[in-house]
Amino acid sequence: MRGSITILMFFTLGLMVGRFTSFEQLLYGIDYSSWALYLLMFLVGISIGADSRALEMLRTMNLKILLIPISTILGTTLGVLLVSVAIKQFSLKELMAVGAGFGYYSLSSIIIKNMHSDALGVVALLTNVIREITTLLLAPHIAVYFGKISPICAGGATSMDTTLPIISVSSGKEYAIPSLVHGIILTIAVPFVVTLILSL
Amino acid sequence: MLAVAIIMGAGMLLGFLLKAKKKTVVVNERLIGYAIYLLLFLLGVSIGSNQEIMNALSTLGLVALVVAVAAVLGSIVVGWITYSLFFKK
Repeated sequence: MRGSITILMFFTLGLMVGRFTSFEQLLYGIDYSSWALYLLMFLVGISIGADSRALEMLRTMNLKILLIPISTILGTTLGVLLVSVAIKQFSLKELMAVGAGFGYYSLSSIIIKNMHSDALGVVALLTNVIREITTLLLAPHIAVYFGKISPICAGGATSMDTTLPIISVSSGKEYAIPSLVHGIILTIAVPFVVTLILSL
Repeated sequence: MLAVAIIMGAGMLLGFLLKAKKKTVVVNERLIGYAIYLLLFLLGVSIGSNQEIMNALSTLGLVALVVAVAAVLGSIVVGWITYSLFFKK
């Protein structure tokens, strides 16, 4: 949770600077955002490639584990589809792109800001931060009432790092590996799925 | 989409090759952290100087809350079904 609070603090600091200073004019006309995004994606790629757990995952892969990320993708899509009817400000496609952040708030919000708009980028940031915090707070209860897979699905991409400890406590140690595999798959999927949806 | 695949793929390959160099990996993680802080700060600046979005901020927050709750609930329900069908002993 400390990570998501820090992120929100940097974002809020930016809001203040943008609101009360003319810092924005210094940046005006400089297209820092596309190359910065590509650089970030490259660094994230390195981090995934260098993560020995990613390869370990392929070795211990049990096909049944794949049902978990499929459930998360299906569940997120269905949930967003249902509420999109009530949200007038954004189209289904836009909300789907936000949902496809699967809790990976940093990368998804930056991609969405660059490919789409600032407004949708903010929605993506907040939605996915809320997703992570909700999972951190509610995982123990979710596991009791909705089975041991549900906390993993709720956590989305965060089930490989920030929400992994609470998931392994709530669902049991035997779900730590499935949680990790689930998080890695979604983390790799996020940049592709978000970009794909926005380019439709 | 293709650009994303190429860039991420190249990064993953490089990461795989650099895996043994623990220091590089640690530096990389730190760079990612700084890059994210910087980019989200800049997102904030861009939003803060846009009066239109600032006025709509509470609406955007509400939309985010609704979408987050829907995504989490949907995931929980489908996860519950998957658990009952395939994992419960």
